[in-house]
Amino acid sequence: MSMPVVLLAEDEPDILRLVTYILRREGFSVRTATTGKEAVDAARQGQVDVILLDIMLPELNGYGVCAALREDPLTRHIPIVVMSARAQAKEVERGLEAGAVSYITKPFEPAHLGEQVRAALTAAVSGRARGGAGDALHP
Amino acid sequence: MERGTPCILDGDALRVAALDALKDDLLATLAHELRTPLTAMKGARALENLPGEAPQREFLQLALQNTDRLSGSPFRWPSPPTSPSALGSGTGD
Repeated sequence: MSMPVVLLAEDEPDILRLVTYILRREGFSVRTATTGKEAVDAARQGQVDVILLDIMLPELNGYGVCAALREDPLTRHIPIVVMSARAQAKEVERGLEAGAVSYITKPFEPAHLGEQVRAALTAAVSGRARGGAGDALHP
Repeated sequence: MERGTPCILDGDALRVAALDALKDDLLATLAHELRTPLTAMKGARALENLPGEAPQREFLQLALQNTDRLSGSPFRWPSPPTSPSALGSGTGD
């Protein structure tokens, strides 16, 4: 079975390196984007199983990325996990309303990251099998 | 309107909303400036405990850089006030 592909959208180079390392170690293939526009373009090119998305991205923020991907039939099925420093309850709520299936606040627990991404992927796959858009995973 | 009920005029409500948005922006910026380096430090520390292959020197360097980031530019913590009179003057530097 091929490795699931994560599109990691993050503009902080250190976090990008760290999360890429952690996810590859967890058995994911990782593609990266450092702006919101790059993330949307990469998702539209296909072969992305799950998106790990920062909110404070240049050019187009994470909410804009969610909106663009949810409007597009090519990408609306891809589960989005937000990973953000914005930790207020209303920000988490806004992320989930924008279409994310789960919301991870920074600093996250590195040992749990792979499991959280895998859970989002599994929920989306089982949701599609039932004919829905996937299940939201509450943080 | 009943007598004694507080009355918020439209202009006041707009100003309150604008201040609330400013407060949210400030909190988001503070959270970003604090939590991003903490994420790097915590992640590097976690990888240090992994057996074998973790490129420990690389991630140790990453943790150190983010320690510097927390204590210095571009986000500068205000210095604590040096005298009781400075507390009320807004000159904490």
